[in-house]
Amino acid sequence: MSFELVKVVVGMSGGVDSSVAALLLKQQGYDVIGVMLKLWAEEGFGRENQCCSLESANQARSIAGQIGIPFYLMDASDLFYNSVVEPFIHDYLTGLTPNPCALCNPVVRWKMLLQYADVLDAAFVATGHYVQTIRDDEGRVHLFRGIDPKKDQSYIISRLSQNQLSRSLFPIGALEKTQVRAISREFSLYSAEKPDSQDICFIGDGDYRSFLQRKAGDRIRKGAIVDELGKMIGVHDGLPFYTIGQRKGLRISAPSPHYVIGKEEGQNQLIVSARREPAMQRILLVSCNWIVAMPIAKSFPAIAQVRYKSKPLDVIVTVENENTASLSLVAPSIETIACGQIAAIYSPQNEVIGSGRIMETERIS
Amino acid sequence: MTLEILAKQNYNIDMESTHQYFDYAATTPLHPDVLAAMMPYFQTCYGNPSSSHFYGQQAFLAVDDARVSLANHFALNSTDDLFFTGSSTEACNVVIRSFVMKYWLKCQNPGHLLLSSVEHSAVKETALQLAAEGFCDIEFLKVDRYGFISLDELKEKIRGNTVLVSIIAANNEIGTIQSLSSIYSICQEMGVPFHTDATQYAAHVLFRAKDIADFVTIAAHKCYGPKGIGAVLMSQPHEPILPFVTGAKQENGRRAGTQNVPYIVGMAKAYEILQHEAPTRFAKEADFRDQIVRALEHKISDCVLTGDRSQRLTNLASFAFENVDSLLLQSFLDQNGFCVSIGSACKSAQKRGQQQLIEIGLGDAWINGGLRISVGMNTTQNAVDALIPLILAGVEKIRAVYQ
Repeated sequence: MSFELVKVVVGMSGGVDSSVAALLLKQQGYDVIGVMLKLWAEEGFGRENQCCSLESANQARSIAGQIGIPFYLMDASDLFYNSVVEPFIHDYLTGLTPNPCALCNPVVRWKMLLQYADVLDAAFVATGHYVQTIRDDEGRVHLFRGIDPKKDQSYIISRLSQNQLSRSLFPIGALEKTQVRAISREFSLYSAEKPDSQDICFIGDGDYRSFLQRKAGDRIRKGAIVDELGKMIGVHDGLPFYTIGQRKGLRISAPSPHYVIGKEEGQNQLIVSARREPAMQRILLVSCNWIVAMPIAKSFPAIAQVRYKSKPLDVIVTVENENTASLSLVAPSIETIACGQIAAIYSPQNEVIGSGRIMETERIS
Repeated sequence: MTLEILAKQNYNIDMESTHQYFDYAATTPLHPDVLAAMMPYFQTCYGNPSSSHFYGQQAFLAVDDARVSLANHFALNSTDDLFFTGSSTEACNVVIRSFVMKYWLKCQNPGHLLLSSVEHSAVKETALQLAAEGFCDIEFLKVDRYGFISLDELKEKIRGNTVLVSIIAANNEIGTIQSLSSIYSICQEMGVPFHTDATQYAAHVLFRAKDIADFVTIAAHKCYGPKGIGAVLMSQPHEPILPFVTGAKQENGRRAGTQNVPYIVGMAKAYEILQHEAPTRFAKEADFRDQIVRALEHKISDCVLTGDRSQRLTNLASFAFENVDSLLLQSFLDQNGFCVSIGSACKSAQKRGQQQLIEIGLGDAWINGGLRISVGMNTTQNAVDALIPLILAGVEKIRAVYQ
């Protein structure tokens, strides 16, 4: 009797999570193919893209050899540059704070992995993300937080479409990190424990401000720092270099500390205040991605997360249309939220209902 | 399940391969006779050639015999005109570093190094490093669409302070064989030393070193010899080489370190076998190569042969496909049991794609689509017949998915 194993393309990083993911799939009887995507990185800083350095590629290749699966390097640098790096620059220039990882997953990582899967007639793609999925009776995939609350990555995975999720496997989502480490040790995998880097993977010196200066310095202008009444109290180096809530580095002489509370793009003014921003009560989302389908209820209670690993907030979601929704906070929050970031919306059962891009926040007046 | 059990289920750890090998330009299996010639020098005649006792003398003699054999094969004037290195990359390194550094030491300013734009990284990266350190200035000779340098440009670019011209004999990715005797004549007329990286060339052409260059660097492993052994051949009387692997006085002070006796023996044997088998070997290679070229050119739309049609390595067929990322094609073929190669990536930030395809002037839609298929000793007609439709299927599939 002969039969064909189900093929899975696994995105590997050389790290412990994706290595164990590949190992588990192999043990479960899949025909596993390891892949690493080579992304774009700024040159001239003696460092490669932090997600896919030559060192990680060699590490992933060793692990693939240990597990007994083929491993290939794919070039995604053009796609990554055009669909992640350029929007990153553009967002900053237009007053937004981009989240490149959230963008990279649907438009680069999953896109490339699935296209590659199509070339090889592979049914699924898989990664070492800490999320869980369940397929319902109608074949629709539901997305849930990973079991390990400290490692849950559903926030970032919330940007994947139903189509992408329906062909994705997440073999370690139901494991704790300690269990993943134990499996890696049990099989003596050569995987690395990479520290969680806060750096953006493609920036040469890790500093987004100097990156913007290098890539778009000619489009960034100095301007006035003004207080709430419009009185000029200092000079800023360019609006993209400041974030809402920022206190340090303003270089203004004032008796009390001032906080950045807004940007006036038209007049190129940075607005600061001696008072912190008032608490936020409403968030407007655009580019919404509903994991299963747009909710039928126009308005419903839910839990929102506005940053990776930030404290979940109780909200009432109001769905305007397929693309747009708003979140009203049950208890106003003093959290600083930058427009351009992602908000993920959860049910009380830890299911991801959807996510959107924060376009506007309303504060208590 | 333990890893050992996992490993045994796995194709790429199994020694019995299920894959067809079409990458002889990357490396070759050892010829059985080469292995047989090497075997005594691992456990029986394992002496150090520098030792003055019985074992040392045995080993010394083995290295000497190998040197004589290779000197004969490449028609060198003397056995002293050859020294062994750890690879052809190292051989290229020592030649380039020697000329650049001797000039620097003498004149205290950077000499001029003239390279083709399609050098292997063994030459190119070595030169770039020396230039970055300020020891030389590099100028690159452009190549035409077939991969040839221009002899006129060569003449124009040679200067009073040109320390060395280095041009790859046969390109490792597109297979083009340069007009070596013409290049060499120009260099001789203008009094500039000429080095050629003949790593690929030496395995597919019988030649006398003195007909092609002052310095010829070769390896064993493209010619059914072992990996990890190379040599520098010198065809003219020359100034002493400035070694960069220093230590004791092995290889007449040109390369320190205990000679790798079994590998040196293996290298000599590999070229000795080549001398005998050349006509049949080259004819068989060229037959398969031409079948592949004809079939792919005929069957695949938007496919070009890269490199020159006639002046090319007998075993190497190379192509570019429009709108195909050959990384994908290569892995598709590997998944289906066929091992081929693709071009090395361009290192420039400005341009993505495969360096050699950019150098021969292909457009943006082509430069990610380079594929190299190289045949050899164990290639069969059945394998060639199976490879062709598979490449066709792969190209069509990739174009459909990525359109």
